Amino acid sequence: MGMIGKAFGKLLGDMITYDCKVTSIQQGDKGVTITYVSGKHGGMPKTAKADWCVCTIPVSILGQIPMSGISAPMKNAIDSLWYIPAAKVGLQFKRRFWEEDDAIYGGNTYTDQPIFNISYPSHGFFEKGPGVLLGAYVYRTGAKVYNFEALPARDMIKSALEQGAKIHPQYPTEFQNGVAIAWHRVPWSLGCSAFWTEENRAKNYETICQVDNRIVLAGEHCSRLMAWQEGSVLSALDAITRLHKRVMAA
Amino acid sequence: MTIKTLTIIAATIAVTAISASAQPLPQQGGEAIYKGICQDCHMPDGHGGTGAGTYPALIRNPKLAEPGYPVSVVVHGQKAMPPFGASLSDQQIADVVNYVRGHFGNSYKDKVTAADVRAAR
Repeated sequence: MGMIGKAFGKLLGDMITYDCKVTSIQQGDKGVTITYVSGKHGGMPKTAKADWCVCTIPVSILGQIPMSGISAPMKNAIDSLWYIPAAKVGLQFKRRFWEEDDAIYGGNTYTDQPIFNISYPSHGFFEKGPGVLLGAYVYRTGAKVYNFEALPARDMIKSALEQGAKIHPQYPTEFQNGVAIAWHRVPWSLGCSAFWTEENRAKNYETICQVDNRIVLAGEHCSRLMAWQEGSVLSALDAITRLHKRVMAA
Repeated sequence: MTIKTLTIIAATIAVTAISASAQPLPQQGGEAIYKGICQDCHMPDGHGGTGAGTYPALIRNPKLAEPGYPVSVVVHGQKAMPPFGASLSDQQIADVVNYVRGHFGNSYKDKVTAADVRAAR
């Protein structure tokens, strides 16, 4: 899933400074100044200055970063988006019992239990030794999703095991280990993805896609494909096209 | 399988997200509602969290002094925080706001009523 970003990262090499936390964004008529600290160690703030800024920070985070020189409509658009919940649980079992016992090779089992679905790996068929499946993929909005996401990680795994065991009785004897993640607890996104209602789309979408003086935003939050890498890529192309036009017209 | 899975989920998010937002929360009572939703981000003990951004701590939070503020935030959401007006009843919102204003080192005596919440919608 993260391979597109990794491949870009490889090509860009040391043009990227990793593990930074942006602490302020100041826009002037001649350029943009970003203040940042080391994400891991903090320390003295550093600054980066440029003529233009393409900002891909999720708006859940961007809304909390002090920004100066940004237009009021753009600030309103940033603050108008809330982030949807999502959670996943990975479960490791001693053997690939779904293949060995039940002839399941990849695909999903959908259930009306809170775990939503179980996804089986589509690689490594018939391998010996432990296998990992997706024991829960909870998404959308709504009470069930929040209830699942609000569980401590340990309880999410327990819950996935209990519900999955109703479908696969092998769960209790074959289980080895698990890992759970709730997107609202991901420190750099505070949620899975921006959520556009149709009403808000009509009000703020054009604004958030505009070049705001010298800053342009990009990411799935500036696309019509909420939550998707494809949305991010389309947004990147759109942002660069807009920026190019602006620069050429200047 | 990955591509197939993604397609299905994409369709599901797009189609169901809006309609599902009215799905009512089953929990009743402030503590159960807090544990069912709020602790996801504000954490079980209300201390919130900080990474690239921050989930505000509810512990001794002076912004809770005026009850209309937390009522409005729960009903309408605020910035990245989702709105819960569609999935919680007036009474549920009153209960959870009263719970937060009476716990985590907060001890406000005035209570929010379901009518207060209705007026804030």
